Amino acid sequence: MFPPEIITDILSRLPVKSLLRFRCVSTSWRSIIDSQDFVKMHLHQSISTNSNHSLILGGLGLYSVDLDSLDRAHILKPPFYYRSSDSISNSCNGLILAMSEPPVLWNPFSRKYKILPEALVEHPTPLCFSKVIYGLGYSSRNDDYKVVRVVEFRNEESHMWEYSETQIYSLKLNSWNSAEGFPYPLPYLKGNWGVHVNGALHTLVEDFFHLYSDKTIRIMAFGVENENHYEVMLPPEIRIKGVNMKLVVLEGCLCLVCANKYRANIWVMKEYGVEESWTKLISIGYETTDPDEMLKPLTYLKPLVYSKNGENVLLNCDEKRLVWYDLRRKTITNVTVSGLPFVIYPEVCVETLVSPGGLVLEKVDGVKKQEKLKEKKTQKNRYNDSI
Amino acid sequence: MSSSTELTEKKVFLLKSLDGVIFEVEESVAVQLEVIRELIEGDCARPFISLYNVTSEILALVIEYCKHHAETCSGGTSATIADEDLKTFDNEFMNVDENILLELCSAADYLDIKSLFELTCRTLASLIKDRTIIEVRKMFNVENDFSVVEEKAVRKEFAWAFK
Repeated sequence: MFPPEIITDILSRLPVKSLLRFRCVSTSWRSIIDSQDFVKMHLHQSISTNSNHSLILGGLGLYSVDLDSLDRAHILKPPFYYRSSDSISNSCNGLILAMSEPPVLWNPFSRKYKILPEALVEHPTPLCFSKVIYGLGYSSRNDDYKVVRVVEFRNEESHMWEYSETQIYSLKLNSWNSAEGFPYPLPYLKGNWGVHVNGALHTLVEDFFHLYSDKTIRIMAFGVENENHYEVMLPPEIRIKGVNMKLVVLEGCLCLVCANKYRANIWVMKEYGVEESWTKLISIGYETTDPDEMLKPLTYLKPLVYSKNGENVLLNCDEKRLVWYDLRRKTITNVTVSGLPFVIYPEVCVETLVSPGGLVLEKVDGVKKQEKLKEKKTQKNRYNDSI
Repeated sequence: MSSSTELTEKKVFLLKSLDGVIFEVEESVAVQLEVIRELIEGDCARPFISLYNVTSEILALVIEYCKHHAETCSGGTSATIADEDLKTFDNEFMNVDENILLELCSAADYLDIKSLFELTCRTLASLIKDRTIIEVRKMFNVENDFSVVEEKAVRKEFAWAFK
């Protein structure tokens, strides 16, 4: 018989769909595939070889694009109640958070999901409106996934941030806990929070205490393990004035896009937390061959992944197109993916067997439960309206 | 390296396969087999080494692989050309019957040749990716020890994965 350790090694290189099928091969194959050690081995194998990755496209409707083939966008149908206007959080080890009400932790590859319990209700403040923002993180010490829910209260007229309330959900405990409110505002427009690197969620914070001096900007991190805030240094001596900045993840590294009308510089922090390790990966400007102006406007550029050989970087341009940027030749190649929606908000997601805890068979109950909750809410609103 | 050592004879090892065939290999090739490198480093390497788990057919292939990798890596070609060359070689090398591939994989594990193990695992994974359960059982010679009812239940858990 073929040695089982080698079987495990071969299996760890397969996509999730094949693995879920091969659970049926024999009881020992099922035990291998279901074991927590294997789930982790498969995850690390996929990350280290940059394989089994997909783009999950949020925005209107949900789509997935397999990054190995990069040829077609497949429509994703969440097995729970999801409105197309709901969006998704950042991804973390194959899990994403569908920001429905209540939110759902979901593995789109194994199709398992878990509807989160209702979070504590925030207290309304006069003359303020509230906005809920979610981030998803992993705490390796406790091997736990955490959902960070920040409710921001902003002034009704000026839209200025007043304060935040924070709750954190732990998958292991299956409950929400109140944490100290976030001491800074998160980006007002969606899509920017939840840059998950090294067990922490990162965001760019404009230093709002220095309104009258020159604009300063900082990278703030929230470690999901210790639930602490700390600053990560920006690349030294970069220009901030008149530059649009964006923080993203590129293959597990913090990545900063600084762009104005004429130039986009993409920086990568090669070693997390080490200021000197910031490296300029890409600089796009007048010298870049771009006859069809694919890369314009430069302020919309977002790097997504490296190609398998590490020579190209996939860029999202204008939230509509994808191009490969050749790092050595500094040229671009258009990528044609059929079935792409008009606007794309891609999130790079690794295909894993990581379980959100719920059962697939819960499907029917889950949808019912969600609908019931929704019904309750509408009733409550009606009641509130009538008094 | 001084010219005098270059002139001395290259060290060779004799590797004996399961079925008694003896292969003569140079040190640069032999060290690609981690098991032999460890023997050399521990000063325990005798010039004659018996490999009980590998047949001559497979050992010949393993040596061909190690030879090519040793030559390409030590040659004066630039890293990118060497890389390309190895990629082409590896692709052609993997173009063998799947039973041989399985034996190569298990030999690479036994002889501890990391790059060959990685290559064979990856190739086998892409071979079986779209196969049915029955095909996979046959290929790995695995007995189905589920009862009919059990198998049906396990199948139902992820019925969509069978489409």
